[in-house]
Amino acid sequence: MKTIFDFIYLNRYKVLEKTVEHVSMSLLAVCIACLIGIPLGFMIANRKQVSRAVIGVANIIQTIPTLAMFAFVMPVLGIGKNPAVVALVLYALLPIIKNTLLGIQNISPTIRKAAVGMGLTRSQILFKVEVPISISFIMGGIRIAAVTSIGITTIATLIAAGGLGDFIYSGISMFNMPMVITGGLFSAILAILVDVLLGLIENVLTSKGLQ
Amino acid sequence: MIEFVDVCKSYGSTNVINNLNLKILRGELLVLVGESGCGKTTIIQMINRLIEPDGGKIFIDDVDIATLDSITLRRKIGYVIQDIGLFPHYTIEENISLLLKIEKNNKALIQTRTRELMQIINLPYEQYAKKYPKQLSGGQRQRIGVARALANNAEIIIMDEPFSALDPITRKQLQNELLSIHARYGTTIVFVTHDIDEAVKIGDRVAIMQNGEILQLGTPLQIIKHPLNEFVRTFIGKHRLWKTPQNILASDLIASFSVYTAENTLLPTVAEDYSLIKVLEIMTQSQSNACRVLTGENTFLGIITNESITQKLYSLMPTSGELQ
Repeated sequence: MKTIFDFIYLNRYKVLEKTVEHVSMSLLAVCIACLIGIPLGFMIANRKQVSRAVIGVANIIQTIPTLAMFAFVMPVLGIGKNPAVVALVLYALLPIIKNTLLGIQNISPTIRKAAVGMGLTRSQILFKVEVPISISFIMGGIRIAAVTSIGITTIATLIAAGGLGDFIYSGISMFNMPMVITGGLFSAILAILVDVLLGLIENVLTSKGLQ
Repeated sequence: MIEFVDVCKSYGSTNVINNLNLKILRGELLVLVGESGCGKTTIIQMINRLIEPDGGKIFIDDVDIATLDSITLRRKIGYVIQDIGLFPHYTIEENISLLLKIEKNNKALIQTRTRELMQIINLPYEQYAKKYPKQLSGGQRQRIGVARALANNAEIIIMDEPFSALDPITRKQLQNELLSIHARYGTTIVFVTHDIDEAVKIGDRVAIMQNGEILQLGTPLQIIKHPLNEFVRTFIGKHRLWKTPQNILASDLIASFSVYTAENTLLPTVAEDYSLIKVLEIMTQSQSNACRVLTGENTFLGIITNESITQKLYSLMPTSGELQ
C-alpha cells in the first residue's frame, strides 16, 4: 500500500498529466458522439425503418472487440490521439442514439398532439416539449457512454494515444505493480466521478414533474 | 362564425366525411354526438387544421382557413382533448401560461391572466400554481386543460371528448363549470362526445352524426321531441321524455278530440309552455278533468283532457322489457 502512495507521490506530475490526458480524450469523444448522436436520434425518431437501420449499425459497431477496433482504425488514421478518439466516438454512439430514441418514443402521442394543436412551431415542440421530457433518458445514455469511454481509453495506450493506460501497460511489462495499480485505480475513480457528476447534472436538468 | 362548405374527407377508400355543410354560430355551444367512427373528431380537427379536408372549404369569420398560417390559426383556437395532454415537465402555472409566454406578453400580464384563469377553474393559484400535473387528480388536470385552452383569449374552443375519461361525479362538475364559463365569456365552443346525456345537457344545439353525416341538427328539445328517424330515436333513448317529464309541455298534451270547446271558459287555463307537472297541478287543484291551452298571445290552442294525458304518457312509457 505504502509503495503505491510513494509511487503516486513521486510521480504526481506524471499521474496528473496522464489523468488529464485520459479525461480529455474520453470526454472529447463523448462530446463528439453527443453532437452526432442526439440530433441524429431526434431526426430518425419518427422513421421506424431508418431508426431500426441506424440502431442496427450502431449495434454492430458495439460488438467489435476494442482491440480489434483500434486495429481497424490504425491503418487508416495512424497512431496517436486522433484515431483513439475516433474509435471512442464509434463506441459512444450506440448508447447515446439508443437512449435519445427511447426518450422521444417514450413521450406520449397525446402530449405531442396537444402541443401541435395549441399552435407550437416545430422548433418550439422540440425545445420546449420533446427535449425537456426526454432529457433524463438522453443523460442516461451520455452517462453510459462516458463511463464506457473512460474504460476503453485505458486500451488506447496500445496505439500510442497516452492516458492512464500507459501506467497499466508499462507497469505490466516492467512488472511494476504500484504503477499498474495506480493506472487502474485512477481510471476507476475517474469513471465513478464522471458518473456521479453526470448524475447530478441529470438531476438538475430533469424537471421535478418527471421525477 | 365557423362554416363548413361541401367538406369531404376520406382515408383510403373509406369516406369519413361526406359533403358536410354546417354553420356554427358565434357564441353557441354546439355538440357533435355520435358513435365512435362517425367522423365527429375528424370534423373538429379540421377546424384547427390537424386534419386537412380532401374537398370543400372551411371558413372562420368568412375567411377560408386554408389560406391562413396553421400556427396562427391554432393559437386562436383553444383545444381540449380527452387525454388532456398537459406537459408533465411544466408546473400548472407554466402549462397554463405557455402560449402567453411564447407570444411574448409581459410578465405582469401573464401572471394576472394565469391567476384569473385558475380562479375560473376553481383551483386557487396559491395552492396549485407550483404543482406538477402528476400531483393532481384527473378532474383537476382536465380543469387545467380547459384553462390552458382559454389562456390566449381564444374565441373558439374545440373539445374532443374532454370529460369522457372522468368519473360521473367529476364529469358533472366539469360540465357545469364549462356551462358557466360559456355563459360568462360567450366563447364559441364545438364539443364532441359519444354521450347523448352530456350532449343534451350542455348543448345549445346538438348535431347527431352517423357515418360521416349529420342526421339531425337542432336544440336538444327539438331533437328529443321530434327525432328524425329510428336511428336518432334509438340513439337519444326512446324513453328520454318519460325520464324527463319536465320536457313534456302543455302543447304536447292537447287532445285530438274532446267534448269541450274554446267556449268552455269555466275550465282552468294553462299556457302552452307549461310543463306536464304544472298542468297536472292546476287540474288537480281546480278538480277539473280538462283544461284549455292558450298561447302567449291568449289565443286558444286546444283542450287537454285526462284521456289525452293518459294517452300521451302511455305512448312514452317503456314496456317492462325495454326498461331492463
